[in-house]
Amino acid sequence: MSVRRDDKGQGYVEVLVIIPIVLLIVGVLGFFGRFWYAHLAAEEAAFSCTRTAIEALDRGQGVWQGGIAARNALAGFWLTDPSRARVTILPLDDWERGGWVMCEVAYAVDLRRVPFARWLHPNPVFPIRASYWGRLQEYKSEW
Amino acid sequence: MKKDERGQAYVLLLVALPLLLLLVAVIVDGGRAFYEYLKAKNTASLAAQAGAQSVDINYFRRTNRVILNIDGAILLERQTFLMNAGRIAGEVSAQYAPTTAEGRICVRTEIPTLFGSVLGWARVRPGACSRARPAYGIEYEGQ
Repeated sequence: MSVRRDDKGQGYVEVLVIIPIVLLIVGVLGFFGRFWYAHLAAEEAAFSCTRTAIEALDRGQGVWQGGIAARNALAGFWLTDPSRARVTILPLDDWERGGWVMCEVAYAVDLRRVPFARWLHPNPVFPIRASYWGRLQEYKSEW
Repeated sequence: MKKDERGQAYVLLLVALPLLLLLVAVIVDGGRAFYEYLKAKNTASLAAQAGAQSVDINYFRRTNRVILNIDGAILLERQTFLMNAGRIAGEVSAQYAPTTAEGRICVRTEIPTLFGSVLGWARVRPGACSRARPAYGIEYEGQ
């Protein structure tokens, strides 16, 4: 046979060197993928919340409608635990037609279950926030 | 193992690495670009909706028909854009083009890339346009 004694296991060594690199890349993909996905979910939830709240005629109705819209949007993204999201709806002044309302959605992205996430960060739990200002509707509109 | 097969895994890695890095670039930079696009789209949507509230009241009183006051629509769109523009990354700009029928606005942002610059995409320019119009069914002032 043409196999030299010092060539044995060469393939294993090469694979052992390469596997961590490939796993790191896979980890980065999973890490950032989940991270951006949660950001997108929070953005959509904040937008839905604002859009729904500005159609309400009074503060109580606006806060209720906005909160439901935000949680429904988050639930649609199948996040691990959307009930942990904090939804804040605040008017700039009084809740009057033509006034301004801000809806903020805060959520902690938990990436501890993502494979190799701890290679990238010792405690991969990140708070994210998304908020939008909207103007309370004066008239009905299509948009 | 024959002598000329040594290092085969490294060669395969060398071939696969650019593809994997491209994938990382698409996930990281693409995710960020899509995130900024989403914020631009939502901001444009809220601004267009605000613009569509600028009903020309004098014209409505005279004719009982609903059209927009273009200057007022631009002002409301600009206000809404400015209220939300602080959350959009990079250089951000807006174009206002409402008509008497619709509030229209385009929001564009320009952000530098992280991995994309290696591949020749130093910056990306996500942006979105939106339009809104007063709904049918306005029959009296203040409705």
